Amino acid sequence: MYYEETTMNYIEVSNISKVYTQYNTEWQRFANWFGGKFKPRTVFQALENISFSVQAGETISIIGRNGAGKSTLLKILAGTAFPTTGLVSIKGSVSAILELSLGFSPDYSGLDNAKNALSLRGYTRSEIEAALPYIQEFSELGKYFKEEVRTYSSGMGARLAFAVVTAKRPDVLIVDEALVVGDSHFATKCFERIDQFRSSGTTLIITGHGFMASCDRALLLEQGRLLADGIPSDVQSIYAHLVPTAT
Amino acid sequence: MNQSNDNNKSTLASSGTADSISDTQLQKALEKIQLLEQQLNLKVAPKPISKPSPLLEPFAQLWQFRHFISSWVYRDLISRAVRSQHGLFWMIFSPLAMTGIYIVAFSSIMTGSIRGSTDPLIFPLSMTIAIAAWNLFSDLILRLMATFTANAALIKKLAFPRICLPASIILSAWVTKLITMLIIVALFALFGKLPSEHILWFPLLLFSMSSLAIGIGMILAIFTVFFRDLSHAIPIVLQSFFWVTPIVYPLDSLKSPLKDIIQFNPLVPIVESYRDIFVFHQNPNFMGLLYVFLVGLVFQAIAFYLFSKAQKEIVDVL
Repeated sequence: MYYEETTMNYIEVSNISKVYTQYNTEWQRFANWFGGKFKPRTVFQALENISFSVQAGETISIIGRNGAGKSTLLKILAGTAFPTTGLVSIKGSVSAILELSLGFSPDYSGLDNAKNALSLRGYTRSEIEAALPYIQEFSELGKYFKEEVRTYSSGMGARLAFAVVTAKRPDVLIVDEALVVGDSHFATKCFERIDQFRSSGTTLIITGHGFMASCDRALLLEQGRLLADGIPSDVQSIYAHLVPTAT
Repeated sequence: MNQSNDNNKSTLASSGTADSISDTQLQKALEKIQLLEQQLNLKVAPKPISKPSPLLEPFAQLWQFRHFISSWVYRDLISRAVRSQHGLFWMIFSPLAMTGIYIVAFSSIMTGSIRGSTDPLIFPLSMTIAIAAWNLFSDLILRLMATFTANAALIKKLAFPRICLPASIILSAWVTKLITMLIIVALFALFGKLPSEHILWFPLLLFSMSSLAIGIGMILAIFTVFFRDLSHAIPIVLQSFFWVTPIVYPLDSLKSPLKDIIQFNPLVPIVESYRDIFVFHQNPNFMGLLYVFLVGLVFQAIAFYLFSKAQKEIVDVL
């Protein structure tokens, strides 16, 4: 799924839906895998028939109110969650930073965790070695880089995670804007790095309004549906109707 | 290539207002485009991963992620060795002490005879090696069972072929058990039971037993995601299996109906083969090992099928 070859578009999302279900007992879920017809106790439709495509080098903002399905969509694009129905195909390498840490294990040092996360992204040993100085420098961890992650503040963890994800220019970068946090100094640095990637051809998908001014297109999600897909200013004005107080 | 270049040009053009561009701005833009083109030429193309046949795909993924697997195994060993103050010492001493205790216990407290042997050393050694064999089996199952639940953070946050996790777990269990086996063989030699060349069949025993453990362990791993209670229930089930396998008693001590039933336990040929090669210096039960291996393959196929069904929901439930 992550590396499927496509025709023209870098990212092709065709008709994806995501349904989270809860059953009375998990046995019913099992039975359903094998053709059972049990009704779930609760059904939450996080995404409904979303289709769009992204060209190489485009910058896309995904906006929407809380619970509109932005995070679910990003997770699916990043390949950590799977759509219930529909297909996603992405050409090229994908980097995603969606949550505060990258599943770092607290007992290992920042260095070991960085190596681990890089190797999980399929880096070779020499690529990892080459990336480490950048990570140490960019995350500004200094001597803490070799300390165990459990001693880190949440900001330090986020800095390390961002540095790991952006160690090498990906073809597609997926960012949850809420993540680029911490002190404004570091946030600026993150955005600079993202901009740098963008200008060398990385396709960027980001949630939130921060990049609205410089992005090529915006997608508006509402209750799991794609409400608008177009020029940022247009989409922004539709969004303003949804949230009268926002403007 | 052309397409992405065009795209860069268009984004650049749209960043200034299109009509009011000055000459210097234009010059700058052109320079930037040139630079971009260079970068794009330099840029390593996304690794073309030619899709292998579905059956081979997991192996291709394992090869691609070999660095993760090797560093996982290394870190697992190191963390076992380094977390405590004298980790390396404990890593060697604890199997040494356990083996020593078993040998002493089975030669003085719980004595007996196995396969009609009169050598007083044979009984304690064959009980000890059977316990070691069992430990490897149950260790593999319990570790594999936690594949998804123990690595939930990684699974939720990074996209990578999930097969890397069990592969790392299996390898690291093998490495730790190899160390244990070496220690046991050394201790046996110390007690006067030098190894014979039959010990070279050990990899066969390891593969056949691991096949079974992997099959069962992965099925349990998938179930454990949805039924967390299993993590409490399975150790109890395993404990009862320990007693229906001739580990701390010889197979020939059983009476007829029970002995016939117990033959169906796929662990019997494994445990008996360990005794064969380490204590009795004879060839293992090849047919029995093949049987276990094939039973394991059946379980693995079931696990694979289950995973293909469960894959989408595992990450949602974790």
